[in-house]
Amino acid sequence: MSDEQYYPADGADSPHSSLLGSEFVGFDEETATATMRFTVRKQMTTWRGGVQGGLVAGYLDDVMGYAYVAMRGGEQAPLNLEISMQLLGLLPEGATIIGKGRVVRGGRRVIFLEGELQTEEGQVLARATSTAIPTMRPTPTETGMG
Amino acid sequence: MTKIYEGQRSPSAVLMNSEFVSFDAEKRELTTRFTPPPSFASPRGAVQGGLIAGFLDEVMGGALLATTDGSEYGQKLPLNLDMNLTFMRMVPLSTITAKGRVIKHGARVAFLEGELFDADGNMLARATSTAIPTDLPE
Repeated sequence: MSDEQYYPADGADSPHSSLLGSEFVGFDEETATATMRFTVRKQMTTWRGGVQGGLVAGYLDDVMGYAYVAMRGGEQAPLNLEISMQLLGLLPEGATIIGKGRVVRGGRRVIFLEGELQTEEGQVLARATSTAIPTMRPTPTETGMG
Repeated sequence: MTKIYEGQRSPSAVLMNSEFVSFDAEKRELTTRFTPPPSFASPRGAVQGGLIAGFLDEVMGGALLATTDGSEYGQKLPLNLDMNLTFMRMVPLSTITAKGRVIKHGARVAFLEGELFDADGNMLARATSTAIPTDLPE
């Protein structure tokens, strides 16, 4: 499993992964699609009982980003320039959310990504597109931006 | 009575260490300070891109709350339908200033925008949002 080469090693080191309760499920090379599972923590929610709208982008960014990282075998990571997102439903506190992220096009200078968050039953809760630029994979001491 | 938009009104606002600075009623603009928690960091050592939207949502929402305070329809909070974000610079794990504005709002739709600035006044990120104004919880 090539996944194990990059994800558990440093994916779990990133502070935001624990906040998002993220867990890598798999990567399909043919469709350049990453699947992740998230558990919604209370700190992320508002009085509506679900994740604050803006913070939903955190989950989408995570899964879109990993699609690209996985496609590049852990060598590179995307730096976001823009994210557009639509919020269709609440991500309830404590819920398990399935994230799908896909590299629509990963060029040398620009990356186009898309992502979706769903319930375990497959109901779409949020979707996003992102425009990014590739950088070297960052480490705790190196931003990856050269 | 303390105005709700001057406090931390949700677990997410507490998480982001939201701190009221000022509200300009004429510009319908709210200014808030945030200190990102260490858990917002990406492997780059700065705030993860998506989570940057959390600050912007908080300040845009607060702007609608402040703008509708005392209005004839009652005070409203936005339920976001979409958000568009532009990231100009990395957002550091230190205190940042956010400004949120109500561009236009009616009974059914609100248009909001917001920006984040670092301590030197550099714009770090901006957002626009389309939302549905909803009543406050009991």
